[in-house]
Amino acid sequence: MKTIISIIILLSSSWLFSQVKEITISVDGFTCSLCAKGVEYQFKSLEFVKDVKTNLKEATFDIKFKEDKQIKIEEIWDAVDNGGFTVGFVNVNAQGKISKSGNDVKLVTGNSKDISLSGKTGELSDGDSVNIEGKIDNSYKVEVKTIKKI
Amino acid sequence: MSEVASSEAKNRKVISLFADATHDAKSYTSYLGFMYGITGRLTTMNRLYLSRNPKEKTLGDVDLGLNYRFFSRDKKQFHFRMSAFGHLRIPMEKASDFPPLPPNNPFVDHEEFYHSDTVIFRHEITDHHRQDNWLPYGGIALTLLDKKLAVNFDVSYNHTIPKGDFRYGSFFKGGLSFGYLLIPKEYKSYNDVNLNVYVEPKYYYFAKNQLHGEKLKNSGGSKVEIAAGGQLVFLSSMIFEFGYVRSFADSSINIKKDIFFTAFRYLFF
Repeated sequence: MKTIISIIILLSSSWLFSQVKEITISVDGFTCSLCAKGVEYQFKSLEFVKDVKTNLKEATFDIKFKEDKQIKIEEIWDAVDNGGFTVGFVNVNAQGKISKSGNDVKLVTGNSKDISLSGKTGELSDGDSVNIEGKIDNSYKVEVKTIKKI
Repeated sequence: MSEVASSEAKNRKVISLFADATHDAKSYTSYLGFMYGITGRLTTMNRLYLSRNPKEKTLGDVDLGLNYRFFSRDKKQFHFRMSAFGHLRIPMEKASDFPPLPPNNPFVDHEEFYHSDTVIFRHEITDHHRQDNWLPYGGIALTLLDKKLAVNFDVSYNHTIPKGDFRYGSFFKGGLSFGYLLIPKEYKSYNDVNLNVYVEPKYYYFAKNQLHGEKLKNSGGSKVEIAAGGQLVFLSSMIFEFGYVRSFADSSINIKKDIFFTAFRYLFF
């Protein structure tokens, strides 16, 4: 019985920690707080967004996600468009397991589509648990800046 | 109050109240406005003209409009945008509602109804909230924002369609405005009070009014207006605007040569 409970705890903790945790998004085109408020509202309207911190000076938004919701990265782009502006760049911080098939390296997370990785992925093996940071686009491709095995 | 190419965010509502008056309060305009961001690029902009004159009906013409942003070039704290806009001002007055007023007071706007070159009645216009012509109008707006500097250009053609025999002259309007954000020097929070100042030259060309298809002598012309104003923004959701407009090189019959105006807008989701 103890073994079963341990396995359940291990699996659930693995699920909890394997996820896209947060992004920082730079938005182009706005110069005033009225505009920023309009974009912030669009982010907060997304059902998977937990918290938004706005940096008016830098025109960036730090977005944290709800742990129990599926994240749809493409909706972040739609939100910026609905706010009336354009995405500059999006930095992502995510944890998950590596799935490797030839040159195709993917990060499997518990709360988003699989993320295609490029850049510093040479030393990774299939099944590695990693934390990655890098620029993501709206087709779930990340140019990895830093990667840590965990 | 120019058309701009910067659209409202989706689902944002803006309620506004605008009022202007000449310094002697002989001529004035008021309206209640409502804007709504249908998408991030398409905004509906509507007005209900109101009267502040107890002798007039309170509710006036309705102006319904759309503004679509069709071009954007965005960079960090910079944008250049273009939009097309179209409006329809729906008249709430009939020509027959105007009472005849014998004296021709040159210091008050007036419209005159002629028969064979003879004025059959003259109506003083002190309150511009009702008219008897349909007014479809449309044009384009270009907006450039670069950090604290804003430049806006808008041009429109306003085509009047008479309900009766009398037709106001259709008119062309073009404006170029320059704005600058004075405070805050640097944004720290949504609670920072903003102060924008701007100056805006505008050019108008009016075609002659017509009765039974004939052009009326005492109508038409052109003018240049220069507006100077400021906008105070509170809590990133309330805008208080104020300013002064002066006409130059005015060959039109409009005697609104100097106008004070104020507006309040509340933005919310």
